[in-house]
Amino acid sequence: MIYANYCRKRVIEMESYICFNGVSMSFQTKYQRVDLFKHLDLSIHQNEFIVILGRSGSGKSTILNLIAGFLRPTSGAICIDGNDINKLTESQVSGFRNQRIGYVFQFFNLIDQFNAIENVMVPLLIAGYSKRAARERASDLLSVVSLTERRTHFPFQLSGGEQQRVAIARALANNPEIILADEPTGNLDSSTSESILAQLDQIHKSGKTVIVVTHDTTIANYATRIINMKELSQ
Amino acid sequence: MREILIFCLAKDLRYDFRKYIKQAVFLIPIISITLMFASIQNIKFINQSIFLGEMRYSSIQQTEEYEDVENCFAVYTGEIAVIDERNNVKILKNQYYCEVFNAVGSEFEFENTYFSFQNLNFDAKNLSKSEIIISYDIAQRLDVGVGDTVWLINSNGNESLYPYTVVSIMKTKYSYQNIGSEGTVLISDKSNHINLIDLYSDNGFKTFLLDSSGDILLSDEKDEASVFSLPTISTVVINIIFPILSILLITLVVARESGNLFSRKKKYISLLFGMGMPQKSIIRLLNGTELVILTFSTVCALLIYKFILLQQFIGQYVPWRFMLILMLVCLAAQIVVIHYSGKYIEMMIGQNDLCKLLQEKGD
Repeated sequence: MIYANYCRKRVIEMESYICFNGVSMSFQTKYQRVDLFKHLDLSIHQNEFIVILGRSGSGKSTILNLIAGFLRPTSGAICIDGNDINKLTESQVSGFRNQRIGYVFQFFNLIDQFNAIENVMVPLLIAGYSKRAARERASDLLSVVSLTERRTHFPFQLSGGEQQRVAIARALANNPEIILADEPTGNLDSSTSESILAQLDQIHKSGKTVIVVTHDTTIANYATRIINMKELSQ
Repeated sequence: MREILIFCLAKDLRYDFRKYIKQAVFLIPIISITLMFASIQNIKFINQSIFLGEMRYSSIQQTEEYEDVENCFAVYTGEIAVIDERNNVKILKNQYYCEVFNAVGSEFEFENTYFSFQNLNFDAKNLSKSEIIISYDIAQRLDVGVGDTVWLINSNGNESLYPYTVVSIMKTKYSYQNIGSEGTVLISDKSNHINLIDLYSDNGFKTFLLDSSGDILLSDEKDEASVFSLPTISTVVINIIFPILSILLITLVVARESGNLFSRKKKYISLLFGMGMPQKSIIRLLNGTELVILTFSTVCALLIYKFILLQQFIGQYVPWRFMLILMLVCLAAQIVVIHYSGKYIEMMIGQNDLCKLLQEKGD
């Protein structure tokens, strides 16, 4: 509690929206303990477009997973909008993830069982929307990503770019403040990548905080700030 | 959260319909056979050969011709019951000095259909005086099964009611004819059996058996005969080992199915988790899926248990009333099983790194 208050104070002082205070992350393999990063301090302001670069295994995706609450740090505190997310219960973290985080994955990760509009409806239904309201909102979001005519198509009937656009629509479903994207263009050709990045840029311009993890340095053109994991670990 | 759970459940069942049907096809025979072994303890298997003679019979001292009589069975004297369905009450009524015949089927009115009440001399070792064996036909009409109680009414009137516990059901489907105390009719294909009629007519308490070859044996020639054919299996096996093995088998199968379900749905679970569905709701969703599959499998298994295994294979009529109770017991067992399966899935979620799954390529 004392630490959370301290953390909140620091956040206010720094005016940062997302802050990592002395975050260390390590995991145990079968044979040894691996330290991914130690005492990481990171501050991200609202409405930033952050691009995190770094080699494989440097812990880029782990940062996103920590922000999304999928993982808990070995030590240190992660505060988002003044709240230490490590102090939240499992169901509070789920609610936080559902309401405030939109996640875009490299492999799109659409649910095979559902068609495009139903995939977008899922986070809305989890948030408590009625089926009808969720369908209307999902339909609007699909039109934003220009997929209205594809809304009843199942993932296997969509191209990679289309699947990623559905994933973006899904990430935007509950109008979250933070959009996390893990290698969003990693599985797409260059022209499709261009359109996906344009979408992310559009999202950023609409006032959201966008954090993208990538190997692709061309994304850096859209960034308001670039974070290199190598520098962070040092 | 209920809306999303129903939505996901319905979609998933439709999408993976074939896999779920496969799962049900695997579960149905296991559940039905397990139920059979679990309930076998209540059944006394009768030596059907006592009652069945696979030969054709013609009538002797019979005014009516029975040309297509297929079986003759348990010819004895003693008490015979009749079904009386008046006032919507199904009762069994005693008669004396009657013979029983079969394969006359629907030619007889229901009220004139009699059934045998086992009180044979050779049977005394196996059948207590409060126990009764009834025909399949009677069991079906009364909707009673093994373990149920039926009442026999003395022919003197309705005042004397005697409760009997049904211990077995004769496989043979037959009807009975009341000959009454005026005379005895034996149907047989062998004319030299006519002298046996006298044995019945004298005091009505002599008995004889038909062996599998159709020969009639007097009771004193075969006094070691038993109506039951199962005492070879020890009661410890039937009463303790069978039920324990049944429970163990069902537990193992359901645990295996829960594990399979989790493995198959790992990616799906991680996606729902990633979109903010709480772990509890995910477990509830998987439990719901299991409940649907288990309920469907149980209903099918119960029907197989009743119509094929018990009634067709073992020859024991299973009353619908009993089926309802069994269904409720199975549902209660399912809830317990699903509760523990939920714990198991929770453990599996804990052991599997869901965010790693989210970074993997699809299934």
